[in-house]
Amino acid sequence: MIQLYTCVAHQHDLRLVAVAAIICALGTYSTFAMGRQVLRDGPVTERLAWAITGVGATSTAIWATHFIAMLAYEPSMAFGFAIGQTVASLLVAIVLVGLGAGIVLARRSLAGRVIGGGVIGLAISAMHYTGMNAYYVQGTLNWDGLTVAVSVAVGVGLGSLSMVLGFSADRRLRRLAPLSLLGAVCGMHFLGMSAVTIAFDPQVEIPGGSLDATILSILTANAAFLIVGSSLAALRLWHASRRRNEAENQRLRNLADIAVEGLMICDGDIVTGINHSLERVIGLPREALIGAPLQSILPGLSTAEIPTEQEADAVLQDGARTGIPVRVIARRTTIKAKPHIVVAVRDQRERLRAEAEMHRLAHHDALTGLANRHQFNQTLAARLSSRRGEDGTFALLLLDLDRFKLVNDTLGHAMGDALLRRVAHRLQRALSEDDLVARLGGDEFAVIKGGGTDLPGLQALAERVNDILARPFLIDGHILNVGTSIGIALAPSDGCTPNLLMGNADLALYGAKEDGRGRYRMFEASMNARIQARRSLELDLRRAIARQEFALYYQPQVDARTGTYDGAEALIRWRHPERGLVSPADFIPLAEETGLIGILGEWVLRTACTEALAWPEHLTVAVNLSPVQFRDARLAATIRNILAETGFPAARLELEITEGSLLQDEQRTLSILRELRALGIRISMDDFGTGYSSLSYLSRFPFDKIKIDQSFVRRTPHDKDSAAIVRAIAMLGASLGMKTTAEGVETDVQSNFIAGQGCDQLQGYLISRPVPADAIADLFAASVPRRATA
Amino acid sequence: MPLYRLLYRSDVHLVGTEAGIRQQIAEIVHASEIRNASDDLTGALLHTRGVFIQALEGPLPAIETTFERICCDLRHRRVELLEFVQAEERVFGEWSMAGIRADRTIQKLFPQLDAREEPFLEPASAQATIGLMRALLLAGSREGASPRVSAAPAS
Repeated sequence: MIQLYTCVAHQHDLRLVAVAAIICALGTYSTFAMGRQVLRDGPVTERLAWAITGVGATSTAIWATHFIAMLAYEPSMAFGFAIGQTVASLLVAIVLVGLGAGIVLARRSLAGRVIGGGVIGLAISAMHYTGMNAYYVQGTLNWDGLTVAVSVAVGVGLGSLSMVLGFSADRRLRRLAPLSLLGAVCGMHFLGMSAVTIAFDPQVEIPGGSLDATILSILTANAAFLIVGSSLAALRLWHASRRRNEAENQRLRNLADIAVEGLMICDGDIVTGINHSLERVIGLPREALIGAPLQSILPGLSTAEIPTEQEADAVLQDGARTGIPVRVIARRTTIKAKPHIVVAVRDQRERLRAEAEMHRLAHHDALTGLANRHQFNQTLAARLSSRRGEDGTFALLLLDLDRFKLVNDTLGHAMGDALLRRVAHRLQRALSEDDLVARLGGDEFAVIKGGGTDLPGLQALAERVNDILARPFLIDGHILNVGTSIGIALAPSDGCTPNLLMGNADLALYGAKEDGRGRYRMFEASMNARIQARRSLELDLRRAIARQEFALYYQPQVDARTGTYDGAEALIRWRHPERGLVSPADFIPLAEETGLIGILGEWVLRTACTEALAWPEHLTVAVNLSPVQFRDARLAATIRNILAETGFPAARLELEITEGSLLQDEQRTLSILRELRALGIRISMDDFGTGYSSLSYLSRFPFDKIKIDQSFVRRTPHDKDSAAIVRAIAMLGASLGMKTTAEGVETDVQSNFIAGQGCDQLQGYLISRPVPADAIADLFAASVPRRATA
Repeated sequence: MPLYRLLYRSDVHLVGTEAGIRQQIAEIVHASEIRNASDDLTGALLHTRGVFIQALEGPLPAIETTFERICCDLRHRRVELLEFVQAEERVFGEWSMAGIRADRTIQKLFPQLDAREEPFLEPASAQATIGLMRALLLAGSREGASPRVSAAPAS
């Protein structure tokens, strides 16, 4: 150690030693700086270039360090350098450093680093001792063998250490690597120098052609600075451009990440990049996906198969191994001079969901969630056109709620809607999943029953539906009893086209309603003719009102005691252009069922009031009201308007109602009757004695008149029971302060008997048949002078 | 919240042997016991000669929901509402659902089992039925459970 200290401190120009040390430090720094570039990911050519530059810079630095240090050496005698060997020493350095670096890079292991580093250390020694051969001095060089060995060992040891440190995982240790290499170069050199002693020998000549030390030192130092400096400058520039590149890449990545579409960069079938969008869809982090084969994301696809022109459907496998429907398209691109494929992946789930929702909305009823008419029609057509026997044979059920309109009218649409939802739910409960249940609109439902047309099964089903919908509905404290009627037609026997099958199911439904609601009917061929006839009559009836084919006939009523006219009952007649005179018994029920009774009843009232105006002022006109008319809450207002329009006095109008009016909704009917009564109109109870509990009604409303049904009148006086009933009613009327009228009086015997029992009025063929309006006016006009003269 | 009470009758529509049907009814009672307890409903279910008579009492929304579920059930047929009224107090306060099995003598006490034409009983008759059901429960006709001695409401 003392030897080394003496050597450096006393035999060297310390300023030049400093220069050598600086060059050496720069050199070893650049060794590792460039070495890092070689180890980075990047194109092979680029890495190779850095390896060559690194080897060049390192060996130049070692070589320059040696020569500048040699210049700093002051042997106190003339000295020089041999050109050939000086150059050779540089080549030795380059070759061995290159070999060492090659080993380090080729063998990425600790052994590789130790050996490679050792070779680099050896390069320092080899260069040094080759260089010393080029050193000419006026004397002889005496070597201390042990120190030489130590110097080589230090060079090799520190060289190995520097490489081991250079690859250390610890950053701080990595920083020590250049120092270690610096130590190897300097330590080796000065130990080497301290191993030599020069004995002055004036006889030794410095060979000619040797370089002058000063020039050599300047050249060497400059060259070394130039090489090492420019290497470092290149490194800086490269770093800067690399940073720019990275910024650019980052910008591209950011762009890719904000893209809504999923993007994936592939090198062959290996995924090398992926954006946020796709990360989210797959549900795995980028790190887990990069490096994976494309097939782990798009099973069964290779990049070559992905089209570049039009998007293709594919299935993406997400982190949970669930298939996600996607569309993919590929673009070829070049990244870092290598061809890559960018795969754009578009998630189709949202679109498919939206499509499914649109499909659902288009095919389902929004209120109940059942299939709608559109879906029903499609299914019906498909089933009918099916060639397979299983599908083409089925039952079609049409349902219509029996009292839905009443709920909707009296409790409002919200209640109606709530009811329809419950009905839909109950229907689904009563049917199986194979059956298609549809709401065709309003309170109309249809069922296409799967699984053949066996009759017992079908009847059981219809009964089940009838039963479940006949059960009460409790909604917001209201009890709703609706019930349903069902018409059933079988395909293909009852119809092989949708229209025919629907029409026949509708006829069966009509039949079920006729049977008394809450029932089902299977279609029968005979229904057609009967219902067609009804339909045509209904059509005629509608036209008849417009064409004024109706007329009123009047049957006079007389005072039972005096025989003078009290008034007349208006009776409707229909003069059908082809059928002739149609009986009210044939068309009134039809008018009631179809609701035409409202218009017809109004017409009767208006006509009767107008025509009776021509009669003498004390005579009344009696008009019949149908129970159906009482369902219209505006009935009283309508009648008041007619009286106002025609100017007919209310006191001369008598309205005849039957028990049927009170049976359906007693409270409503009674309140309408009270309103009419308040106008001054008289109310009669018609067909008295035929109903169930006629007597009870008399106590609930103060009728003005009771009309004894003609079935009793005709059997008097020979039938004892009928006679007793007529007598009882007459007495009842007298005691309640109500007039009694006997209808259907045909003989004098009847007339005398009935008048004798205390009846107030008579009406019947004995007095007159019903006659047209002008005839009755004549009849009444003729009676007035007679009455005036009487 | 106002208290409502509902009474209905229906035809039992269960398939199986007598013991099997009894087992199924016990299961129905048990299931409604659990559900009613969480819905604040109380009541009793009587079955005899193929007929159910069930009383249900509690707040309106729970009654309506439960009755709709009953009406969607195909294990009985011809469901008819006998009474649906606002009530002062619970009659079956001790039982979320008590099953009652009537023997032959008791069957005679339930005329409405046959009275199919009059869906809505006269109020007095519905009251009598409810009273009778409670009396039967207290007298020990409760099915699948030991009779209670005390008549005190378990509130």
